[in-house]
Amino acid sequence: MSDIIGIGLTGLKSHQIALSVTGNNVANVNTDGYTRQQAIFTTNQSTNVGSGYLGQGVNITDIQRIAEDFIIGQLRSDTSLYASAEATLNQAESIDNLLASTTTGLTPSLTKFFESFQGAADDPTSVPQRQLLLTNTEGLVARFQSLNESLNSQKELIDQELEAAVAEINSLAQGLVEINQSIATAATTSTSTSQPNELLDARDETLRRIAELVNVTTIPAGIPGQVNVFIGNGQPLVIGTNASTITTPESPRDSTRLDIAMQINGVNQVISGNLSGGKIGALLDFRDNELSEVQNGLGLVALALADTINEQHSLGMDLENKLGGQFFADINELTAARQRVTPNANNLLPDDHSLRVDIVDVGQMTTDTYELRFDGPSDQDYKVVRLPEAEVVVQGSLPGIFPASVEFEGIDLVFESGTFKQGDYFTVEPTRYGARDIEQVIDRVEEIALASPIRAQSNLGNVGSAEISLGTMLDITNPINGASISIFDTEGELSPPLGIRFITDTYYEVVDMSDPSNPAPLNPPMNNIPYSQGLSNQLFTSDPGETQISSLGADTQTLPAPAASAGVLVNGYGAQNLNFLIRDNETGVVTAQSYAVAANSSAEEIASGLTAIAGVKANAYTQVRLSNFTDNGDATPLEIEINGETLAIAPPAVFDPDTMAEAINNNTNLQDQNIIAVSNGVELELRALSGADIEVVVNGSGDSVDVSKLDPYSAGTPVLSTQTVVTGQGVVAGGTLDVKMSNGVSMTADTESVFQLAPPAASTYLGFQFSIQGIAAAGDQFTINYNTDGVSDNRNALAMAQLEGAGILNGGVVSYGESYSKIVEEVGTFTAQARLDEDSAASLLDQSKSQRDALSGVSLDEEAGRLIQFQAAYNASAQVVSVARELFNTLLGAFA
Amino acid sequence: MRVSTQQIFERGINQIQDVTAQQAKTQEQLATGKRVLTPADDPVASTRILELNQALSLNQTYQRNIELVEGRLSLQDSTLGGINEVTQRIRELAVTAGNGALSADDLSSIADEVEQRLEQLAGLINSQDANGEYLFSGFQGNVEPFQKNVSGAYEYYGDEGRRQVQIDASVTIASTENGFQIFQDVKAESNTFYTVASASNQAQPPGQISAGLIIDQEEYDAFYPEDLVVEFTSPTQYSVRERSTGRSLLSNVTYQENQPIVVKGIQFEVSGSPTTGDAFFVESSAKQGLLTTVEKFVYTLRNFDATENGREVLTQGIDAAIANLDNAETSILAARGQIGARLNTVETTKEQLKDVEVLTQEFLTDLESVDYAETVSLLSIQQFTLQAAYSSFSQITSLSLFDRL
Repeated sequence: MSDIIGIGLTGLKSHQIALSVTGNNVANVNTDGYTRQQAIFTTNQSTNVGSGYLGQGVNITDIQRIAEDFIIGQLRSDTSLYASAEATLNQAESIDNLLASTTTGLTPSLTKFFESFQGAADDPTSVPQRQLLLTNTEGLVARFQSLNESLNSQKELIDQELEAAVAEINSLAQGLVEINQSIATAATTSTSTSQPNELLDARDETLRRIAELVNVTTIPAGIPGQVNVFIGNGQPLVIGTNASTITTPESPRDSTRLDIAMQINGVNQVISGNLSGGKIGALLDFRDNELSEVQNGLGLVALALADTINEQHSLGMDLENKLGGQFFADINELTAARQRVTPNANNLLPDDHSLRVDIVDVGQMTTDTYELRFDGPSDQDYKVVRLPEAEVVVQGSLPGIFPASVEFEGIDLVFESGTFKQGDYFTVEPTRYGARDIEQVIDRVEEIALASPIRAQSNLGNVGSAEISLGTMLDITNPINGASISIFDTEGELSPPLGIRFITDTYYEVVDMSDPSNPAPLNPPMNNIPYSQGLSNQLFTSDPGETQISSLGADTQTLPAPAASAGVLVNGYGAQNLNFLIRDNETGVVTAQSYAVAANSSAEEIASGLTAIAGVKANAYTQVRLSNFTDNGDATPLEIEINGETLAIAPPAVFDPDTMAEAINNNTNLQDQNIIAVSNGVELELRALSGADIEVVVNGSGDSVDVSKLDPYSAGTPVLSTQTVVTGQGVVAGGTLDVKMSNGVSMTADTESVFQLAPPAASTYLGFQFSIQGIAAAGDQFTINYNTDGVSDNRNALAMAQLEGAGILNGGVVSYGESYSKIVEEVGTFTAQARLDEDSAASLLDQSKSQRDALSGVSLDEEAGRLIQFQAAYNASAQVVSVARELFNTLLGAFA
Repeated sequence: MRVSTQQIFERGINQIQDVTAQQAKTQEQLATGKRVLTPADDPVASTRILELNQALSLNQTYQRNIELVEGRLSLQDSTLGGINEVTQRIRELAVTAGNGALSADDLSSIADEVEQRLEQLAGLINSQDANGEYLFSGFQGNVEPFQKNVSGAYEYYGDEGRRQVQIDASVTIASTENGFQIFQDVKAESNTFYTVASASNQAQPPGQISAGLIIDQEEYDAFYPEDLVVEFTSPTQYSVRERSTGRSLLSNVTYQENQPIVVKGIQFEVSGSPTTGDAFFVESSAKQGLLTTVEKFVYTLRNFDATENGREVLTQGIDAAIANLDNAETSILAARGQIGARLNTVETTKEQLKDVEVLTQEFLTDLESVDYAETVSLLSIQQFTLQAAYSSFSQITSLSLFDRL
């Protein structure tokens, strides 16, 4: 009977526990991380009662969590994935709309800016139009800066979120340590194999919350239920009952952003690069890639705009007749240029490095961040790598003298000074501050340079129909050496103003018109230049590196002594070797070439020999004056032979310079030699336009003529040397040469004869271009002058307005607007991708969550069923006890 | 499959939230009329939208430019029309003056009217636009193009600038004309000259040179196209030389103010007190400006000498004036023709721009705008779904076994 009571009691006790477990399940139906529990019924060991083994009732051997490690692991990794996708999407969406919106994006301001240039071009004298341009410029600058500021504050917010996330990880890790401790304590105090279910739930929930922040991996520790936790690629977060501390130090590369570091053995080890997944992984990735990419892209647009508008504006002239100057702040201003290089905080002392980045060509620039690394083997060896892949862009060795520089991808990295040591790193960010630093420097309407500073005028007295163009400005400083072009040295005028005079219908000269009544040759001279009738003739060089050497050697300065006309007459020019060095501007390869000037060569011969050399063009001409015509009055009159042509003056005309000039100009043989004559009634001036020698022989008897060689390089062509030639004698005058050499070509001589030993080469580049087209006539004249008071001129405004659609970036094919839309498109694509990622991560998380819930979640209906089930069993067990009692009573009754 | 209670609630709520989010977006699309709300909705379309908007605003800028150009060109055209009428009136007066029976008095009264007309002409040529910018002074918009010099003759102070305005992506058109081209660069019937003082003269106040006249056309024709330089070798003496050759024509002549200098068939006067080194130029020209022609006509009328020879000179002068006026009229008509042609170009460009604007606008609408029919029906489907989700949720969650206990 006691058996029956005992059995009944075990049933009662066990089902009471089972009911409590069910009650606990019902109570925890909404608890996060709660795993439903189940009481495990086990039959008690039976006893042998002789007739067989009699069962001894039931017993609860364990209260089990219904959980599956695999499912929990899956849930954890899906949680990381989702948290990462969600954080990325949140960040992406905040810049997505920022960039394209009509109220915050750049495009409307950019469009307005250029519209106001068009407006100003329509009406350059209008002050309201100019004011509007200034206002719209302010708007554009403000838009650049506010966009940049938004990106910056987003970066700061990310850093704040990182700090908070790191603090959370630290406290969660600490919690895990406590759980691990409790699990250990529970294991030592309990003898059974049962595990503390709520500790395990708490452990899994803590791990899930860490997984929201960063990817974790777990390995079971020695004591069942305890875990070791690793983040990144194997950095220990929790080992048993020890937790590492995570910190957020400033990055040595860039003090404005935070790194994530783990303290291992008291040393901060940076692990930012290793972390992936979770909120932290997503934030780091977004901050260091997308966000800085957008900021750099915006910076590049700002730099390109400031640079190109400045360049064009400086070529213009403002309302006060001054050259345009800067419109925006100079992008290569020293502070701005130095900001582009940041030394790594871990560099070796002394911290005395001074570096800067000058922007050379915005069209070649990228939005990349580079790192300058001194990786050795010597302290001078450096390389520049592109981050983050560390692909080498350029490498070299410092020459040991400062400043040194290396040019790559449109920028010039300048080492100004400092002690560079192996192991030093520098971050190079050419475009990062572009949008922040764009600044309008022009602030008065009068300063806007809408006009062009040059103008041309044709003389009202011109007989030909040739027309001169309005002129185009090319440069205000020489782009090759950065030197200012001297013709613009005096404010408000051209120094000197230029005159173009036609010597004949097909030859012209450009002269200095500082004194209009006494035009002087230019320096370097532009004498005797051939003109193509009917074609468009470019007057000046477009090659900023072109130089010119004139034949100023001793032999060209004198006339040889007259000799007997029976013999061979020579010009007396000595032999000379001319050596040219020709640098190929593409490859930098220098080749040498020489030309031997034979003795007594004519300037025409030398010119054709020199012009055959690539990059060299020579122009030759000969000028001679005949004067003091002396006829002794005998029967044989004075007679002169020019280059073998006897100039007979038919009676009744008497010999005088006028008739002689006419005879020369009508002589077809001399015309073929391009020889012309001009008389002023007293003297006769001869000019061989293509540089032929001029031979003068005096016939007659007892007569003489003075022959003078002229200096074409001085005002008024003064006489260099004069010889009196008497009957029976002759003299040959050689010509002069102007040798033009393209960029990269230089010339030296081995001795002095036609050219000097070290002939000085002067730049011919004037920074502007004019052309003359049409039929010109001798005597026609044009002037090029400063465009003083050209207030209605809009050439520069038009040029600036046209920059809107011009291909400037990416190698000169992408406009500012397109470059910006590319950023918008990239961000849009990234955000769209982030949306998809978030969607799929959410459904993955949903799936693993339902898997877990299906297994471990509490179902109230199920628990209700169990309540009924256990209640019924409990009632039945009570019945068993009751039956036993009745049996006992029956037995007692039998004895009564 | 086992379903836990949390799952039932979570799933139901999630689904309701999803549909609500979709509905909110559809509603926003309907409210803004835009299909692409942020670039992420359609990155490619949103870039195109930015570019199209930019193209559209450029197009509108060009159209505004065209309106301004049209206004400017029409103003020039009508001003030139007025100038032409006055020129014709002067020509009529010249024809009248050519009537051999007129006396010196008659000619003098004609000269009076011509002088009036000259002022009228100069006034018209010196017209300003609404902003006070001179129409015909080239780039020197603040400089009155024709001003009387000290000798009382009109001289051109503008330049040869011609303003271009952009009216399409690659089309610029001249929106202004300069006075040099229209009124100065006019072919003269016979070789003529004009005088100018050197810009580098030092005397203060600067010495002046008169417009001068040709007294012997044949002698001048022989000299033409050479120029003359009058150079002061001292404050009291001057020399005259041929400019291109330096040939001396007059040497060290004693200077007397306003005394005619006669050389190579022409006559002119220098006045003021030039200093050593000051120079004056007499430049030969095959051109004669409109105002100079009128001035010379007046001079001819005023200096009529009632002799046989004098009548001949008068006839020649009048013939030259008529011929030169005709040339000036041709030049004005040519300029008007050019302006008309430009107005045509501008008109066709405007039509083109409008067409492009409409097309761009349509394209933009296609890309950007919401399809109302589609979106409204989408919204009603979403509403229906949401209602279904609501009712199923409340039905499912209201079931519990506990209610039956």
